[in-house]
Amino acid sequence: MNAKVAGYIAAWRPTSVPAEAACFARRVVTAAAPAGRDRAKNLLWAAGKLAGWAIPLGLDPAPQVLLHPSVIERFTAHAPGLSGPARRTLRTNLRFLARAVVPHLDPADVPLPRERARAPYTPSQIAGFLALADAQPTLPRRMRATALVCLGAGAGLIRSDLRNMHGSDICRRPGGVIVTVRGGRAPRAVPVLARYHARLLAAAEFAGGALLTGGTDPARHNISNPLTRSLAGGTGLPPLDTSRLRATWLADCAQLLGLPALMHAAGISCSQRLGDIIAGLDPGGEEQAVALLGASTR
Amino acid sequence: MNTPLAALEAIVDASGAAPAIEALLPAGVRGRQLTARTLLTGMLLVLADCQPAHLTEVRKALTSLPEADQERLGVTVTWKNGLHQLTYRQVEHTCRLIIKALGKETPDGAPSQALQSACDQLLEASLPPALKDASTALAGDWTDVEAWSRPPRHGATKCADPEAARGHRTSNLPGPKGELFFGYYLSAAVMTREENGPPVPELARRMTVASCNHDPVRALVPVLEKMPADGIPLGDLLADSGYAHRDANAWAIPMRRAGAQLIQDLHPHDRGPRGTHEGALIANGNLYCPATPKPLLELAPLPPGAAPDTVAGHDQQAAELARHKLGRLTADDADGYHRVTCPATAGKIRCPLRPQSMTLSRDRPEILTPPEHPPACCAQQTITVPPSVAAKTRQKHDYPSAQWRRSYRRRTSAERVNATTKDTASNNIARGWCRLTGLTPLTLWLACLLAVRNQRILHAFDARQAGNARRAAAGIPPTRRKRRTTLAALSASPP
Repeated sequence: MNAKVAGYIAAWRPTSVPAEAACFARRVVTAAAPAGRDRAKNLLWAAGKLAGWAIPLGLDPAPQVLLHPSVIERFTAHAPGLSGPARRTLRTNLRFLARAVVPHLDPADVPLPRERARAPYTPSQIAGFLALADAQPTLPRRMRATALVCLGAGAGLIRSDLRNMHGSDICRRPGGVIVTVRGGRAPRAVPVLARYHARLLAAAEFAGGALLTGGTDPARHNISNPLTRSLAGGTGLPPLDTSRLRATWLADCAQLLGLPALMHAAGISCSQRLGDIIAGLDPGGEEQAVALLGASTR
Repeated sequence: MNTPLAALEAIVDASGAAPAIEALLPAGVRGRQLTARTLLTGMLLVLADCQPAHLTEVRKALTSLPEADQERLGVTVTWKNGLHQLTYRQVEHTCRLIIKALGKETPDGAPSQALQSACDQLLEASLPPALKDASTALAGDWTDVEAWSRPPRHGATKCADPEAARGHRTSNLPGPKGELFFGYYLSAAVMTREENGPPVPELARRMTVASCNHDPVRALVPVLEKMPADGIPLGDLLADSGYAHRDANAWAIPMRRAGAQLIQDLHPHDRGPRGTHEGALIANGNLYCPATPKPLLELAPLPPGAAPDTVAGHDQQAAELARHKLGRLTADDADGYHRVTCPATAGKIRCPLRPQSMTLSRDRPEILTPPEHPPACCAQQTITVPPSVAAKTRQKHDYPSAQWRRSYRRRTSAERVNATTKDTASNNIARGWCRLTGLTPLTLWLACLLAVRNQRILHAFDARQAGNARRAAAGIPPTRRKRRTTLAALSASPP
């Protein structure tokens, strides 16, 4: 910690924080040795607020008491008069101070790997999978493999939505093709990307009232494994993964809707706030779904 | 406002005190012209007219009545040689007989049973029947009554009033705050509203007078203890630290036994941690977890006129303290024992010694350093608390919580009784108000004074209620007493 920061901490005596609380804040922030003045200021504010709340409640102004995880949690989650953002900031800063000053009370977690979104397939890779599907030895297997690729990359269906899909669930509407997801967590109408219309309709016609991806029991598991195995023979093609097929559909839709341009223009890099906003809007019905990808309902 | 004669006569008749006193008086060969009933009525008339408690004033009041009333009351009688009006000598004679009948054989500075009964009857009769059950809450306090007699000269023991003694009083007048006086202590219990009840007129319900040689608290206790026997149940009993600081056997235990729920300020010597029971800390009348933060246990009540911020902070501390209180599981049994449980078991705090409590939400305080060798209160599911634990300080609400503060605020009604007895605009019991020496005449006069004062309070209360009803009918909110502007309030809300 450089002398300038140390001097700032030593001189920190705000009128809004009681003297005893300010003394505690200076002590723990000095022990945490922040790198810059701004960081020191934020940590001093957090420690001062904590001590200002805890000391009147009879807690001893000692780091091992006030920086105990339970005290930090109680203060940040339940102390009156704090806004939501202030609570989050305080908790982050106080946990940082606790890790630095009393590390034995709450050792830091070992960071675990975090998965990002799956990478979409390229158009040539999708074409390769469709070609492999066409090369299957029997008609039923050709149809099932085609349906798997088209439902994944053309409608973004995975897992039970995919397994439960019957031929009758695919229907043509003026301006587009709709896949009706009936069961599962989110029953909905899904528009199919135009380039998969013909193949999907053919597979649906072949399946009729039966399941599109094969089998007789919708509750069956690992039904896609034999199909994906059958499509794994292409040279230079990556393994077929339904999650990547869905990512491909999402990327295509986002591009069609102009979502990247919107997020860039709004300065949003994370979709969380967007989700909060959209949660309050009407998702619409089948007509809106058909119109989603630019098709006309007339 | 002058109370009409009929109302005063009704009080005397309803009390039954006059026939009881008359029965104690000697029956002479020649009949007495002035009866006890007329004398009591005359005393009430004098006080209602805001006159001093002098027998000359009694005669003046009685002889100033209309002729018909004088005749009816025996103030004017027909003797064989014509009409005879009451003389001062006759008033003094009857008064002397009553004092002798109601006094003790050997005066000791405390009222006799007959005198106390007469006072109780007079005060009870001054309450309208509709208001007798309006509230069971009472506020008690004592004040000084200076005797007419001068204290014995230096080195001597004799004086005109041998029952009076030197006492101490606290004055809020300019000059020294505490001083000695020669006389008696007047203790009064005044009816006040229930905790969440409607307002009631603050009527003095019981009083007693004792020499300053006697403890005023111990003097009032038997008077209050007799109330349940008279069919008047005791409810909340509000008292200041002067009462609470007495030995438990002198105040708290007998009052609890009589059915009262104490709400009292604690003397600074009684506040804070005072020993342990089964490892639990005894503080302010309750048992607390041994790991309770010490500053919370030493929490003192708020000073009057505290700023809103201070009040909020104090309430937060009191709420935090309440979380550490051992929870009561049972009511007192016949012997006064009850069971309590650890606050962690009750789900109020998180404690590693009670693993189940650690699954509770973190909005509760957590005991970071539990006792290394857990005492019984931490190891057992419950502990038994005998009546001897916190016998003096135990009360209805946690001291000094917000609930206690709101409830205790009602005690000021007792101060208002003292204020009305020393009101220079009406009756002022300062030295010279009553020039009769001895405890008995003074007590009787004070009982009459409180009975008359009750009538004034009733009249003012009824007028206020009627005014509020009129305002309500007109859609105007009831009048509110203007709050006194204090420096604390001004500093809390700057312009």
